[in-house]
Amino acid sequence: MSTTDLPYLPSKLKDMQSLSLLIAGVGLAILLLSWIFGAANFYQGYLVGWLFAIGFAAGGLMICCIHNLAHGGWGFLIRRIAEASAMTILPIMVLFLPIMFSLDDLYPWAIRGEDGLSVYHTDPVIGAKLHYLNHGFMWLRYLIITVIWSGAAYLFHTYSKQQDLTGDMKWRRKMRFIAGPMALIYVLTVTIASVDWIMALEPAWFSSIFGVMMAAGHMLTMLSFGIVFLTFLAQWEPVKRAFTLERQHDLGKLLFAFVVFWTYIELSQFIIYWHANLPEEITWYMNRQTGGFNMLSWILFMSQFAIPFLVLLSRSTKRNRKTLLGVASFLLFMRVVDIYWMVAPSINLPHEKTAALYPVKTTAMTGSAFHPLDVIGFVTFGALWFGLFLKNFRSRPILPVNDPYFSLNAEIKDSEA
Amino acid sequence: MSHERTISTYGVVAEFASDKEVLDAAHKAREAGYTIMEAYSPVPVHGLDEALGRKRSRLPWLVFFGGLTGCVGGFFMQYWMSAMDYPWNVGGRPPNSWPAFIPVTFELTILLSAFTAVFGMFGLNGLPRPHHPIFNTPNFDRSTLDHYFLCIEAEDPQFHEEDVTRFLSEMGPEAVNTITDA
Repeated sequence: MSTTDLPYLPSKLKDMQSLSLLIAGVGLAILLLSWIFGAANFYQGYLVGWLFAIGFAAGGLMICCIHNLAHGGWGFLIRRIAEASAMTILPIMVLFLPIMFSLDDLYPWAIRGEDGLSVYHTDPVIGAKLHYLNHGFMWLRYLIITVIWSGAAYLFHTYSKQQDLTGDMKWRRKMRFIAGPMALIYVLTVTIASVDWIMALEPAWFSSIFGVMMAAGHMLTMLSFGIVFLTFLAQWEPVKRAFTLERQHDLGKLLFAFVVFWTYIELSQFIIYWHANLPEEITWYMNRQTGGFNMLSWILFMSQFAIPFLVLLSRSTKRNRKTLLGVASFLLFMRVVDIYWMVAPSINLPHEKTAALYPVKTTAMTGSAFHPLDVIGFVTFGALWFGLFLKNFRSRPILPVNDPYFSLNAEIKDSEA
Repeated sequence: MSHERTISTYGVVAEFASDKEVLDAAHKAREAGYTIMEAYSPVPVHGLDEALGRKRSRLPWLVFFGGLTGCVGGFFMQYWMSAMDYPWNVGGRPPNSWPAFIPVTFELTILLSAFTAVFGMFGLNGLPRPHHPIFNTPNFDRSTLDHYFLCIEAEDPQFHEEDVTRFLSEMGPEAVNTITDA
């Protein structure tokens, strides 16, 4: 089959793209106005929404890496989705600029006194971290992550496009060649990213497993979305034929694996910190065991672990399209709750002892724990990412038909790939 | 062979030279209404389980309850030890320090799941078993080399030795033999 006689996506996707970008435009306008008018809750809402969007984009990049390294039939259908999603990294990273320009409104370490030094430079814990947590280095890290992630996404996209045109094995080798190093670099850079974007909200606190937690979140986001979107596309040919039960089962198994992985990482951190109960480590959980956030912690544990775990445990639920769609959509929503749970308690510091660690308040800290801007933030960024994704996705064939190992529905060929 | 004990028929075995033939024969036998049969093959044959009408194993459920026993038992073992039988103040933590119980609970869940999976598999397969009547089949060595065998067992409600022999002979086998369980 050549690329030319491939059916392109129905025009429905074009309407969805326009609608998403319209919602995103309105949302961004509201967020921009709230920023100009100095709403304290702008920062939390914007950061939560932005982290939600970058989760799709970085998760897409990671799936490109893993599928090119491991191959296998599971990835052929989700590959185009992952590639289109990874190509949104650059615009999403550019949208981090409002936060880069107002670091001192969000991150305590970034507040500068009259002398130009951080107001926390005399603090024994935060002061010692200022070699890393300073404006210049933060900008450098931001630029490096943007260049590496979007560069890798661009390479995957370009090589894959060439493969579509020629079907040459050379492109597969090239993709595999960057997939290995990129998987390694991603794990290193996602640690840096997680420290910069979330952990530095509480600069006195630290955790070495934090980057893995974020990576697990990225994968969960993209896998859930992949399943939801493929189920949607399966209403039409050619995905209807290609999204076989076996391929769906494979994606279900991966989703299950990452639900367990996320829980394993979260619990590792929790058990160690809870059990040691050291003053410099326990603040994260003090904030999350106070008031409403305690309830949220339990909701998160039940909804992002217990329920999906028990449902996905059975083979028949993973092979039932409606059940899997339900679980994947539910997990997609829980991603927002998870990101809110990671960000909001660190900004609001509900526990008086943790709040006392940061005597100089950022603008964000003066906001409320939950605010309509939080909802606007994630709706805006969700819609924005989806619109950008659809724009990339529509520009290419839905399936990697010219991949030497791909066949529309031959399971046996899949297993040899 | 002992004369005190009755020797009964175990089944009729057909020997085939290709996987396609055995798959075909299994399909036809199922269409003809035979339900208790087994195929022997040197390599996995795609679709053979379905052709034989195999139901999915009960093992996953056994493993689930094995894991559940490990999970609940592991947790309450620690709860009973630390909070009921011998409460002890460790660094000011409450006697029921449930987060500290998670690693052992988790490990016991895995342990009992794995044990149930391995030993349950043995049990459901009727292992260990020193001998099986199918080894009385002439030429059965080649089931580990290049031949495929289909056995319709005597327990099958439709089983009549002559009928089954005639039925299997029509499939073009290399040989059809009636075997006994002695």
